Amino acid sequence: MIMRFAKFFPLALCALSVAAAPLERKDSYTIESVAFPKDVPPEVGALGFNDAGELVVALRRSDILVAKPTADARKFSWRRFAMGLHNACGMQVVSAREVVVSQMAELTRIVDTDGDGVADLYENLCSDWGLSGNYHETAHLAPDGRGGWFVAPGTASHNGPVFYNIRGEYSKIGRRGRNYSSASYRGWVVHVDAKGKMTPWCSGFPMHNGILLDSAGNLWAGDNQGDWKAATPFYHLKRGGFYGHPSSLIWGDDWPVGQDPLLLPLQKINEMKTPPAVQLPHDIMCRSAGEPIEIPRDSFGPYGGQILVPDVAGKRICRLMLEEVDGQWQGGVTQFFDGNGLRSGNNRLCFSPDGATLYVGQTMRGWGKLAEGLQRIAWRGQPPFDVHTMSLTGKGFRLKFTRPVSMTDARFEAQTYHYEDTSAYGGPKLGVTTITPSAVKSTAPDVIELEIPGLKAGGQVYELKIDLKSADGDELWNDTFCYTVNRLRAP
Amino acid sequence: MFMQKLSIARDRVLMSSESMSVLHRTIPLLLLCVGAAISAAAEREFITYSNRPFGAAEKPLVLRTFFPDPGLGREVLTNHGLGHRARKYRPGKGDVDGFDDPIHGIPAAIGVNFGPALSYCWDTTECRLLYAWQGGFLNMQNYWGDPRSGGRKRFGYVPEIDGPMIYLASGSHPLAIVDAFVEDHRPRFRAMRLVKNMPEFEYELGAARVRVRIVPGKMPMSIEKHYTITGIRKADYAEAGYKFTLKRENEVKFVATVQGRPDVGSGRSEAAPEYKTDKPNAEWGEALYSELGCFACHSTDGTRGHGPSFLNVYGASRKLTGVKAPVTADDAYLLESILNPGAKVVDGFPPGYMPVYPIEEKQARAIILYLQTLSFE
Repeated sequence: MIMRFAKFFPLALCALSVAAAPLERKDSYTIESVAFPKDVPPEVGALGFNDAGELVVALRRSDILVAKPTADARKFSWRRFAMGLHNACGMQVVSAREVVVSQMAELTRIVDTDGDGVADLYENLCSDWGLSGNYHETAHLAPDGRGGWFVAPGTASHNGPVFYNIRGEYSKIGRRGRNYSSASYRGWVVHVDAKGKMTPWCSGFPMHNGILLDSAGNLWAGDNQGDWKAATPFYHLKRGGFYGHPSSLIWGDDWPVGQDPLLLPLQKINEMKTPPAVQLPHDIMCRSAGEPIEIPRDSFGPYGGQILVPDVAGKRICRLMLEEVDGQWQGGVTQFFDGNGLRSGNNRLCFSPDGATLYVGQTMRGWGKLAEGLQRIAWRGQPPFDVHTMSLTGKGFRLKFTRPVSMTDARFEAQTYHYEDTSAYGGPKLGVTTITPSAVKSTAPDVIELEIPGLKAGGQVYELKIDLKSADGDELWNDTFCYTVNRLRAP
Repeated sequence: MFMQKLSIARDRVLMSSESMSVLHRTIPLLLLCVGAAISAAAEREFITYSNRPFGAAEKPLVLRTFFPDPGLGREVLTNHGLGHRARKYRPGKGDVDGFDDPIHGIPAAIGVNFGPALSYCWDTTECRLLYAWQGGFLNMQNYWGDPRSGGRKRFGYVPEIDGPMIYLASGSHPLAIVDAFVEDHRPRFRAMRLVKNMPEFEYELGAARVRVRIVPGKMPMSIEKHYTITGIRKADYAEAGYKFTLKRENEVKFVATVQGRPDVGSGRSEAAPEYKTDKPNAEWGEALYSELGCFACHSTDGTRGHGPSFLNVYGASRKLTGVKAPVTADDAYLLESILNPGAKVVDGFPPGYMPVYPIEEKQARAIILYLQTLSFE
């Protein structure tokens, strides 16, 4: 991997150069850790800002804490807004006096009705999905923009039991397998309208621990690499869609009574499912998708409008470059932040009200090795030298950079592969083939186009490694870019 | 005589005649609450790494989590789905020989802790009080894991109840709405409110809206259920032998007091020995030890609880907080400690923890005689 730190240039060379001194990482983004009150476990289940400019943090053991961010990240003055929540893993901050959380048992509206700064009303908006007693059944939420919500009730894990007495309907068939859907609507996305009426929306997820309605009205969800997910997928969701994990199918209205979805032929499942818009290749990009977020247009560097996906099981945040080709969403993925002081456990993201600081909430308790806390990444004003967008052309890929490039000594390596989702946990890259771009040309100072012979659609991943410098001598921040081709673009 | 009264009070809802009328009674949460753990309240503002979260009488702690099922009957959990055994699954192998059985637990309940005097579990699926206990609240280690490593030892994620049980629900729901026009009589949980810090639960039952605020009662081990019901035509309230019918369409308010008793559900609650109450005696003291709930904090086997153990306490030398010279736990010292618990505090135990109990001096003297029987040194 190419070093992302700026190189040390001898002073003399620097003085001779017409360009400014090479950028250091801190000229673009800086990261620091935010402190919680002493002895408070900083297990961040959900994050948001209220209309008083306060950061609202739902901690997984019980409490919602609130603080006005200060310049010194160690000196936030925290107070408790609400208590008693069971593993709240989704939150919409409505105002300084109201939040809506998805906790284990229900979607709950929490209100400070008398304005004393502490919530006194916990209203059950909807609890029409089941709860088996398994630790794994957390739920994320996304406001639907019309007063309602999309909620993502996760499945149970074979690492834990169910109870003799569960909330909701129990299915013996749904109980089978690694990640299972023994209680109603586990592994679905459901819609809850403003009056609390639930409508099942789409199915096929073991752990969609992060859903997002973007500014254009598209609904997205990541998932965990696991059974029926060869790599970490990122999906564009549609009503009625099925996204590959079979257990949840049993809760469908028209599912035949007594039929075991795990026994469906693989070919049948593949026909039924909608593939991911983008694969986030395992280890290379991501191991477990957290909450996606759309980058604000102008306040957080050059990537406005793109989507970030944090890695719950890695010290990184992925950046997606999505596009719609022939009616199908697809695109590229690279890193936005990788190491450099970022912890693992990256579960939740939110932007400060001015859009210039990204808060990153972390937790792994119950899922893996502890990685708990809250960090913030601030935009410092200097765009890094990076591939801004990787997009598909009729013959290959177009790379748009954040600054003009130098083609001197530019090198491109590529390989292509695909994944097959099976009942096994995760899956290898299949049919790995090294490919050489048949043509490389710079069509504008900050654009390079590559021609790739024999481009294939249908979920084929193209992994590109790039080694080149900017026209003013900077190294690239990221050297690896993976594009998932679902559809080809007409030449 | 005293015993007779108690045995009637056991298992029984006490309804005062005035509480039947439509009036709003504010019950001062005296006695059990006074002085209990006020000083430590500030430190408990946040949930910390401690796996034993704790509230206070004037500011109860609310915690939603999985809860143990200490042996509730199916007639209590009638609105729950039934879990079933499944084929064992092994990563990499899929289905293997053997079964995974479900475990006992309540998935969607709410826990409330008022300090040592009372904790209870109210369920959002059945919309009723399931059980209550004293002493500590919950030990969350099974769920939250080791405070620093997150490590857990159990397959399940059900916390443990941290004190002796004093109430366990049985039979069908005490409140039955009779409404021929509503087919679905399942309760639906709507909200929890904190009314002057006290949790109040609201649920729908047919066309009725029921609000119930559950707080510690005036007598030790008693629990008050403050009901406010709107939109009913007719309802039957029946709990542990007490039964009445409500017939009105506008708002109905009443208070039902449930008297808890020691060692509910553990099978240890045998008949107490005979004793007299004309003058203090050790048998009476032993009965009071159970009836007043002293056992919640004071063991008789040397185990450290929220308060010092009663084993070998009589006549022992005590080191007190803020006092240099040790004192002897004689009759005078013990009498003061029982009737005025805050006066002297043994080193290492929190001040202001034990509440003032509503007992007479001869009852306290009976307890002291009982303590003498626990001293073997």
